[in-house]
Amino acid sequence: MSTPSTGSRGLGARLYRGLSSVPMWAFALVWLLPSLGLFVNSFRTRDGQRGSGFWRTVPDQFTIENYQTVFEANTVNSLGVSLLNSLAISIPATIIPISIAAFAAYGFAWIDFKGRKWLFIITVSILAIPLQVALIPLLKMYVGGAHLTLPFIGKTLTFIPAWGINGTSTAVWLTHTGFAMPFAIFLLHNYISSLPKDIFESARIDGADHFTIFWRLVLPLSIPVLAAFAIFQFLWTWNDFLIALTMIGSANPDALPTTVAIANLAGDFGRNEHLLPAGAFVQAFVPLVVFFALQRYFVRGLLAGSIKG
Amino acid sequence: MAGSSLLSKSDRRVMYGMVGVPTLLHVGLVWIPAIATILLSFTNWNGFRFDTMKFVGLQNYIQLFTVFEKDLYEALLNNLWVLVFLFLVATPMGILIAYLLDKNLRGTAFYQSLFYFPVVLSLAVVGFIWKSVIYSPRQGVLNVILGRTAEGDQISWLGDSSFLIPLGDYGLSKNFLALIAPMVWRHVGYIMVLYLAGLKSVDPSMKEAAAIDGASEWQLFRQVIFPSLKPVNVVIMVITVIEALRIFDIIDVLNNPVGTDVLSILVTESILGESSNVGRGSAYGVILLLSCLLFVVWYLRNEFRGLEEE
Repeated sequence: MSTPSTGSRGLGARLYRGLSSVPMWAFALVWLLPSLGLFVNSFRTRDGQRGSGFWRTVPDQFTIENYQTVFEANTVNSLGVSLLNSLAISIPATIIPISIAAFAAYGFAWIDFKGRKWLFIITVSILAIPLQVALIPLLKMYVGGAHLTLPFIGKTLTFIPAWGINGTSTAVWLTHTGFAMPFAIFLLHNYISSLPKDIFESARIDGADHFTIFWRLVLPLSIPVLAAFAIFQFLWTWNDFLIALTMIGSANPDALPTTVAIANLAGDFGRNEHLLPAGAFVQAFVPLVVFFALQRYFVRGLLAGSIKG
Repeated sequence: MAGSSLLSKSDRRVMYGMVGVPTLLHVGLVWIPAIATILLSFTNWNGFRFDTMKFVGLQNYIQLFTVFEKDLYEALLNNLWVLVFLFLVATPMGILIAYLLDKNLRGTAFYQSLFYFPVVLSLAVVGFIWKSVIYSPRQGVLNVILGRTAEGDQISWLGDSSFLIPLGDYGLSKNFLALIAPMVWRHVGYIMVLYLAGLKSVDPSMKEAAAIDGASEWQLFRQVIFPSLKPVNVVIMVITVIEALRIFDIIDVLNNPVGTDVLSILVTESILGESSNVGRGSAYGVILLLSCLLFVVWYLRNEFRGLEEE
């Protein structure tokens, strides 16, 4: 009764009442419209798609040719190849950051070392560094490495050798790995630091070192949150467009992931635009399977432990 | 104090590995490139040969705020619009849907999949869907409903850059709002899934206790459930801000209609475009970075408060 902000509360309450009285199915129908349209159009001939809205499909427009064409090798980018490319990016870009971040989250949560607070803050702050800011130096670094020529002496120090990995999926997943680090550490740290202190203390008394504690105790307990982050990261990397475009782009069309391949379908003066719906469904298939297979973990894991705190 | 002296030799090695490897990774892959961008923003590099690079001081920035002033302010404002709509429209909607679904509505699994579906689509694909299904001038849902499909009478949803909400020389252009709609469409599902996960973990006895005390549905949510979901709220904040600032794909694949510039488009265009100008692109990048720093400051303040309490 004694809430200070009656104004906003009144508005919020009204909004809530208003919105919750809309039947869910009406909401759902509106929400479904774009996806439904896409789905129907993916089975329509080119002329059908161009001629009328998806709700006016007539039977003789039905075709599965779009799906066949997007997999054919002679189209601009065969989706079969780019699906593999997407996997070659997303799988390492998911597994590598998680493994590294799990160790780091434990280190930050339970090992007492000097400068821990600061290092943690510096790490997590990257969340706010937008990708675009680092892209070009990264690309140049992948091509030519990182060197510093000392003034006066004229001596060049090489920090990072010239890998020449631009145009490969390695460049893409490596970039994803660097940028995934903060969110992964943040999420896993949330969870791991909330584990009960007693289990660590009794393990230490029994003489276990930190690695054993991590490997035997923390890792098995963290499976749900690891899975939750894995889903996140997989979706993120699977659907990434910008990094793939920058790092692979036109340099190596054979290594393009699905997102860029589909965007290329649309280019070309719209000649292949009728293939887009089919391509989109092929592209969405993998993440859908991943999500629904691991959904259980997602629900439990994302917030496990942190709720009680 | 006591902690570090307790570390055995092997523990110390483990610690260096545990914390050192990720530190190396983000220093090498994020910090060094970001700092390089800051340095590049003071040069006139064209991106090809290092020996043509020249230090030009603040010239790029001066240009941004004079010659390119319009682009810059439009982009900044558009990024802000995205953030505003994701926060004030998509987030409450996602939370509301999650809340309704959590009350075991019939067919929860069905609704959940339906609202989640847009999230698994890449934003690039989402752009095409809306363009062809919703906004198409001739057979798009909107023009058909409005009866504006005749040649000459069509509404060009993605082409009209006049302002819906004018703010001086700038504002929210109609076609940018048309691009925000699909972003919202996708974001609602994101929020719903996150919130649903959170709601499942709320202690039911808390709800019962509040119900016995005669709290209304809204009070229950506002005063019991929402505060107890603080960790979810933080995750949602972070994700929303990240998504709003990195918005790029959907605009790029729709060929960046007039009036829809955002910062990341400006950055990418000036470094990858035909007349590549790494110096200016980097200066745009620095401005993007500075606007993000606002959120770092906010985060650091919270984090420090948390650490102090420990």
